[in-house]
Amino acid sequence: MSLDLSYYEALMGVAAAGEQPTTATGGVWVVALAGRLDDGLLRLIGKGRVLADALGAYVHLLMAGEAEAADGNRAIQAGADRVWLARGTPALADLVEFFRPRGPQVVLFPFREISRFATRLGRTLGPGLAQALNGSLCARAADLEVDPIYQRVVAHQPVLDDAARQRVALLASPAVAVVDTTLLPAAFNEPWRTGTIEDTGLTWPAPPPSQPLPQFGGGVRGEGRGGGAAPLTLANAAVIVAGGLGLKSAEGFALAARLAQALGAAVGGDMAALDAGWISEDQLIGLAGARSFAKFRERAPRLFLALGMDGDTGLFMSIQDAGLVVAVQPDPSAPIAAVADYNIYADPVEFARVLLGKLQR
Amino acid sequence: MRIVVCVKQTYDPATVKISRSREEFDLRGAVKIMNPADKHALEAALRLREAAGGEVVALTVGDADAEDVGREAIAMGADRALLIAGPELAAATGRAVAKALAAGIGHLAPVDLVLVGQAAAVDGTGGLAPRLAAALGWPVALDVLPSLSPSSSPSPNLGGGVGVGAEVGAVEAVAVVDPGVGEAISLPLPAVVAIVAGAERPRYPQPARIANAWAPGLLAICTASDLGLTAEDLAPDVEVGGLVLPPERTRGQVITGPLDAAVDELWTVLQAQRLIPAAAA
Repeated sequence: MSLDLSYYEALMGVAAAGEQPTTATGGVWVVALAGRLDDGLLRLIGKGRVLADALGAYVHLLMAGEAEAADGNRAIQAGADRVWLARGTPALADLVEFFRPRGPQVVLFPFREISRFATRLGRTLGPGLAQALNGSLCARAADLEVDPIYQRVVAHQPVLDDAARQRVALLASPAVAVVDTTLLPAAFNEPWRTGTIEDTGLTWPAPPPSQPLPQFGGGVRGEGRGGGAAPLTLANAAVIVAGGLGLKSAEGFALAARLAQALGAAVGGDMAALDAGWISEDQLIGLAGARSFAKFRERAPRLFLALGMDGDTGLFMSIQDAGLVVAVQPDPSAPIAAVADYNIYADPVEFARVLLGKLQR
Repeated sequence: MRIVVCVKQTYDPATVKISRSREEFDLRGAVKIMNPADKHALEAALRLREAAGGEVVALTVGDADAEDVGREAIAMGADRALLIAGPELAAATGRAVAKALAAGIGHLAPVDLVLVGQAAAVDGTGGLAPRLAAALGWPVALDVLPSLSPSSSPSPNLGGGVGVGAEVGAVEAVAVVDPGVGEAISLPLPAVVAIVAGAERPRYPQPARIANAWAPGLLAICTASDLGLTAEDLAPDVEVGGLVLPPERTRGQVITGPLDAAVDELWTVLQAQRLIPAAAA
C-alpha cells in the first residue's frame, strides 16, 4: 500500500506539480448518483476522507447524473482527491464494469439522496455491487471507522430500531457500505485542498421515468389516503407533539396541531385533552389508552414535544423509549420537569407561536 | 407462476435485551419467530397466487430450528417449503446467505418471482433483496407494498430485465418513496421484490392447516453441498463485533432566558440532532 501524500500536501498548501494522484486501483470511493451534491453527500465525502487518511488511500468521487465542475470543486473542498464525472444513471452491470478494473478498497453509497426518486438507488446498487464483486457489505451504516490494528473498515450498524449500534467489521474487499448520512458529522469545507476533476466520458442511460402517485398515502391528519401506506400515527411518527390542559383552549391546541404539521409530526394528547374534546381516542397517550400505549411500541418517536403537560406515570411509561423529550410548561415543580431532557418554563401557547413562526420563516 | 418467498427466522425484537455489560445482546429469554416483514411478503405471495394461480414455495436458510419457520409458512398457506440447513450455514453472513438462497432458487427452477421482506427484525439492513438479485442477475424493486397484481405485458419502465424462462409478463406494484408518497412500478419477470408492511395484515394460520403442516413431503431439507456450494462460497464477509450504545441521557436540563432566546437554543439542539425537517432547516 503506497503512502497517500495528498493530505500532507494539502496541509502544506502546495500541490506537487505534475504529481497528481496516480494510483490506478484501490482507494476509497464515494458514489453520488443523483447528480447533485447535497449536504449529506458532502458529509459522506468527509467520512471517506477520514477513512482514507487512516488507510493511506485516496478519496475518489464518482458523480453520475447531470454533474457539473462546480460541484466537483465543492467535493474537493469537502475532502475528495479525484472527481470522476459521468452522465445518466448506471445500472448494476455498468457499475460493476466501472469498478472491477479499479479494484476499490472501500465504496460508500448514501442511504438517501436529495432527489426523491433516487432514494432507492444507493440501497439497490450498493448491495448488488458488493455481491457482484464478492465483497463485504453493511447495507445500513450509521458511522464508519478503521480498526487501527487490522486496518479494516468497521461499520456501525443500527440494531433494535436504533436503540444500539453493532460493530460490523467488513472483511472482504471491496468493503461496501450504504451510509445513513444524516447521522454523520458536519462536512469539511477546506478551500486549500486540491484535486483533479476528470470526465470519464461514460454516458449511461437516463433514469427511467418515475410514475409518482401524489394522491397516494396520508398526511398528518390521514386525509386522502387510498394506496394502503401506513398513515402517520402515534405508532409510527418520528416526531410527536402532545398537548395537555396547559394549552388552555381549543385554539391553543389547534396551534399545537399546526406546529405538529410544520414539524411533520403526529398529534397526541393526555386524558385531560381527551376530556376537553381536543383529541380523539386513538390520539391518547398514556396507560389509560392501553392501545395507544401498545401501539406506541411499534416505533419509538425520536422527538416527543410535550406542551402544557404536567406528566404522570402513565405518560412517562408511554414515552420511556422516546429519543428526546422536550417539555414546555410554566411550573418548575411539575413531575415532567425531572423526566424531560429539556425543559422550557413558559406558556406553551406562546412557545408554539414562536416556534411556528421560526419554522415558517 | 411459481413464487418463492424467502423467510427468515429471527429473534422477536421485543424479547431481545442488551446485556448488563452493555456490549452484546442478552438472548437468554429471546424467542425465535418468523421475521415480521417476511410474513408480509408471504401474505403478498398468497394474494398473488389467489389472483394469478400458481404455487408458493417458502425458502429458508438456517439451522435446524429454522424448520419451524418453514412449517409456519406452510400453515399460513404456502404449498411447500425448502430448508437449506447445516452446521456450515449456522454462522453464514449476508453474502453466503444470498448465494445459498440463489442456489436454492436455482434448485426450485423455473421460478417467476422471488419475494423477501424488506428488512429483518433486530439487526436487519435490507441488503438481501439487491444481493439476491445480483446473484441471480434479475431486476429488483425495494420498498414495495404487498398488493401486487399480475400483468401480461412487460413494461419497459425498469428495463434491463433478463427473461429467463418467464411466461407471465410482469408484476405491477406500488413502491413507497417517502411516507405518504408512492411510485407505480412494473417489473418484468423473473424479478426479486422486497416487501414492506402495508395495510393488509398477514393472515393467521387456520388450525387445520397448522395440524397438516407437519404432514410428510411438504418440507424438504437440503444441505449447502447438495446445492453445490463450496466452503469458499460460504466464507463470512463480515465479522460482527460488540455493541455501541448511545451515551446515558441527562434528564431535567432547563433552558432559561426569554422565550425567543430559549426557542433559538432549542432550535440549535434539534438541528444538531437533525430533528427539524430539511425544508425548514
